[in-house]
Amino acid sequence: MDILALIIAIGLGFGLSCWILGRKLDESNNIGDSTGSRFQYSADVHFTVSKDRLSNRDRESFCSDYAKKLEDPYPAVNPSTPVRRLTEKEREEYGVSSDIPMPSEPCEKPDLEGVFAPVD
Amino acid sequence: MATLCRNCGHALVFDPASQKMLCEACGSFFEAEEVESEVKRLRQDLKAESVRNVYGDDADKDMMDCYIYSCSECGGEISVNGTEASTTCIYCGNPNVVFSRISRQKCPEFILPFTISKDEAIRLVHEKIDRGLFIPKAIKEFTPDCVRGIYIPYWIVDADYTNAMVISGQVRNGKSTVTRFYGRAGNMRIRRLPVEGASGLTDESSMKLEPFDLTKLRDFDEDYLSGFYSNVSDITYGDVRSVVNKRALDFFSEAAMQEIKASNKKVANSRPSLCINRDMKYAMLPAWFITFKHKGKTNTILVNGESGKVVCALPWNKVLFFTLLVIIGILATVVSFFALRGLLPVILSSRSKNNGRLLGAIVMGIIVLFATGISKVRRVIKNIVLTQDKAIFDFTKKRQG
Repeated sequence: MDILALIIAIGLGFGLSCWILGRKLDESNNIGDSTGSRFQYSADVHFTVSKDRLSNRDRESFCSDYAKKLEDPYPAVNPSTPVRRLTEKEREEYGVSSDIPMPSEPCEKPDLEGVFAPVD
Repeated sequence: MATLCRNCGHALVFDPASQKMLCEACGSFFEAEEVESEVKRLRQDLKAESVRNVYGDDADKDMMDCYIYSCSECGGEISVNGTEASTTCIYCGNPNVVFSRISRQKCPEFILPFTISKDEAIRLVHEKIDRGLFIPKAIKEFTPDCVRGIYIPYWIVDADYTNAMVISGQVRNGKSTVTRFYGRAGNMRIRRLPVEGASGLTDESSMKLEPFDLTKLRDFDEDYLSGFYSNVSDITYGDVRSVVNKRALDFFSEAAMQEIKASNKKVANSRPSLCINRDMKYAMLPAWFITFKHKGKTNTILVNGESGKVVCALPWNKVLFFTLLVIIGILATVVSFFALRGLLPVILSSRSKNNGRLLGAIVMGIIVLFATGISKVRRVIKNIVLTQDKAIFDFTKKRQG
């Protein structure tokens, strides 16, 4: 019994030690290890379909049934083309006016109601 | 070309503390937007010569992409590579902005000026690392080899995103655990996502500088660059798409998984669609790059030039770490042993069906403790590699001045 208690105690003792020091090392030496969260970019997800307990058949077809392809309103661009600002002419041509409030305007959360029709 | 003080003729630099152009010789301050000098007009006609023209084909191959300018203060030779927009004269130390060669489409629209000064950045780094239990003393007392304030080019992106995702997760079903599948479809609109535009920097490093307060952006004026280094964007539409796609997928999966009550959740299948607003905003965002050597390896610490966020993973004192690991391990083992020696006979003699389950839970707990601890150590080691990355060091170091 003592041997069993010792084996488990060694596991618990060194496991706990490993857990504590791993966390302490992360806090101590890993500084600023975070990126901007989705809330900083107003990226609130609007779920149109939520299904729990998918059957095998539903699992296969879920993505194809509910995926919604967004149409790109802009002319195709070669992916290896360097990014550049649009000219005024292009802005007029594409009918785009970026709604990014810049500069110094507060960034409000987008109103998603009615932007995307629910799929389901 | 530097913007000169109208009082004494010395080169002006942007001062983060006052948010004004400062003449370090006579102490005069000017608003950046007010400095409408001849120099700005002259910059329009500023011409550079390629290294090949100056030195011929014998020039150093590493320098082939460089351009040569003359310093407006001393006439010394200033060499910048194809993506640099401002630098410092190696001979007289004066700031030089070489923005004229940038066409309008490549010129930024906005800039987030430095609010953290060089000394403040170093102080913030010391403040952070002085608290580090496992940071070696030699690092705590480091003297920077080089501290550079660099404006990094960013594209501020708006995008729409849809996805249909199948997530697998484990739930308890009576005595056993079963895998269930969940479906989530939906959309989101991403606003003002900064995508770093310098190919010389890794996205993994630059993303950690976030968040930047973009409400403080100002209309671009090249005088803000004075006294700092800067790069122009050299990434492609494919690069932007790939970064936004990855970030959007992360945001979507995070939101979807938050809704699902299960453990070990994983994305089993997904079908995303992304549409990026082509009218992206081009902005310069500030960062301090502080390099120092430790045991022959160069480490680069980043500091967000607007918020002061410090980003780095530093080498650790292994002797201290393993000594503490053994001491705490032995102490916890002794305590656990005496507790278990009393408890185990009671548990095992009760002949209950739950005995096996209890022992199983203890073993599982031990595995989780080890796995969590080791994963934290591995994360630190991975980020140390990023801090010692040669690419980020080259991005900082390969500049004149």
